[in-house]
Amino acid sequence: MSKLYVFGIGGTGSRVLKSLTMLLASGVECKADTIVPIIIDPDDSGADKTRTIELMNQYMAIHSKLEDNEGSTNKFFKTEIKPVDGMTNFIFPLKNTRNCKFKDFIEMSQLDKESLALVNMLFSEKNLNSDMKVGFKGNPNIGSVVLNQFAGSQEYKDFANGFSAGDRIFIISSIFGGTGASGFPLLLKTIRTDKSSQAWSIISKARVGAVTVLPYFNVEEDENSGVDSATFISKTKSALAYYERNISQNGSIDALYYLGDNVKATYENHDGGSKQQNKAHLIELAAALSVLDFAATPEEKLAEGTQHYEYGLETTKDPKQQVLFQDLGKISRNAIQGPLTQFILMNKYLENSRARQSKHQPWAIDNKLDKNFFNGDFYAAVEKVQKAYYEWLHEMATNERTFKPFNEERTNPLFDIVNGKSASKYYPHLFTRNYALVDSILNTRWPNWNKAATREQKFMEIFYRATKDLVEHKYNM
Amino acid sequence: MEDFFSLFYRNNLYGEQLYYHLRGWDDAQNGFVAAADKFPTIFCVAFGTAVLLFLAYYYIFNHPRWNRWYHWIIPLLMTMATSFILGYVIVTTDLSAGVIAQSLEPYIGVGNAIMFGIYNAVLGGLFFFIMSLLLRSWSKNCKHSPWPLLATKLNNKGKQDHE
Repeated sequence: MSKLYVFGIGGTGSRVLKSLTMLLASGVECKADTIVPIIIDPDDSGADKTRTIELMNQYMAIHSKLEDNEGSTNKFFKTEIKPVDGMTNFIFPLKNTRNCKFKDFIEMSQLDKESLALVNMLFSEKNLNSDMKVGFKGNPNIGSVVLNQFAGSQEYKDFANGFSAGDRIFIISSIFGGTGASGFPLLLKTIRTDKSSQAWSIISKARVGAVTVLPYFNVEEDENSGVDSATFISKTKSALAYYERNISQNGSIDALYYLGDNVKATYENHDGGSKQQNKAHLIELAAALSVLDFAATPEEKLAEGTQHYEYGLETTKDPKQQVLFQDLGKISRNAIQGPLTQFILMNKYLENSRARQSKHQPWAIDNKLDKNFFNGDFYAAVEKVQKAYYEWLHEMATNERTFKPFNEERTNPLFDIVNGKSASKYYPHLFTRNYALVDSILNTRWPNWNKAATREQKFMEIFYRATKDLVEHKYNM
Repeated sequence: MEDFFSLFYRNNLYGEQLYYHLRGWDDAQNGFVAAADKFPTIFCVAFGTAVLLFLAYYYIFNHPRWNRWYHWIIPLLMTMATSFILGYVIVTTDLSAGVIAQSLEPYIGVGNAIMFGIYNAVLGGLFFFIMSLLLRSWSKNCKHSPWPLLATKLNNKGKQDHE
């Protein structure tokens, strides 16, 4: 399969895209060659969205330097992430939502008496006076009006123009908020029915999957906020009933993933904006896995009709206890534990040992990974992604439900980092352990080494091969 | 073959008479006795020590935290110390045992023993140094100790020019 267009709607959409980017950076396998993220979120300054965009931009900068490396085995940053041509920062811009109240957006002052009566019936006074610059504040009835602008927009045409036969579409949304709950059915309807682009016949028949995230957190009570977690369940029920009638039963979607959790953290209540920075969560990781699962689903299976999925942990643990790799189902455990461990070993080495060692170690000297390289833009991008990776893991480890596969704060001994898994001895290396063992493996004379590769390619290739070797021998992953 | 070993020691740095003694001079025969020639043993121990410490440093211990120039100095000094002790002890033992030919004995003292020890130490160190120059490129972790390989320097310079 060539491209997978991933629409991330609302704050949850951005956070799931962030988890997806982390999985791809660490080398989790993706059957699509290219991921094309499209963020739909009226909240311009939303911290979750900003963080995700910055991360994806760094990912792209790194990936672009790793292409065309003959004989490469590297899977770090392997899958291409790229925006739709003409789209800035992966954002599908929504018009007339900045500094605009909903009543102004619908030009309420110009409505006739009958229309005005209908509007007053459908929308509360609070809805009508709602400022949309930070989103729809948990009001899907507002979103369903504002997001009707997908069809016919230039950005939608840009998306359609790049779409080819065999490409797939995936939509990420939450069901209990405003933007996601309303955006998902509208976007799906546009994909299936909009005929304004030349590629409409391909797009309308394209395989479309979606993950809809049920409530997995609460927000603190705040009378001044438009978001109230007491309404999450009722909104979810209404939306599920709507989805059943208008999405599942009419076959407009090929795969639908449902995710939710009854263990809920309580976040600070922010309508949106730069203060809305929710911690990463296991549910978002599971949602990101649903994207990869959809990409890997064979055409024949999707042709059988709408596939419905849920996600469960394979554990009898108390829900308050930390979730480790062994508590995940076999498929997801096997898919992520190796790559995530490889990536954190790289993270720990670069953070705690690289600066002191790279001047002296053959892996750096032989490949000319010198001061210029480590002060350059490429390495700066790698460091930023690694920092974000650590934060992502740490946020999941301090959230509820807690997913803590690593002792991510620990620096020594390095190989005690995987929770619930003790490291084996690596017998050929009798005198080396800890960070020195990483150096020793990095210094290996690797077979099928492409001498003509660039320094960036060699750097990533060495770290991929070395961490893979370590993960296989130390943890049998 | 005896000449081969003595070749490394034929100089006047530690005294001609001591050289004659170590080569196996016998007053009675007015010539060298092959069985009394100590140079093969001294050479083999000095060279063997250098080889052993070279192999230990570059290929057995071969540790990524022991690949700075000052780490390389340690096996070098160990080689030199072993060679020094060997040379010094052999001469002083012969001195105290009175086994040195009468014609040579008046000219050989502890000062000669020290000088011979130093010479043997330099020789052992030189063996270690030469092996380090020529045979370290197959070492995984220490190949750039005490300094980067010339081939790597040239290769990296070539890349720099290319870039």
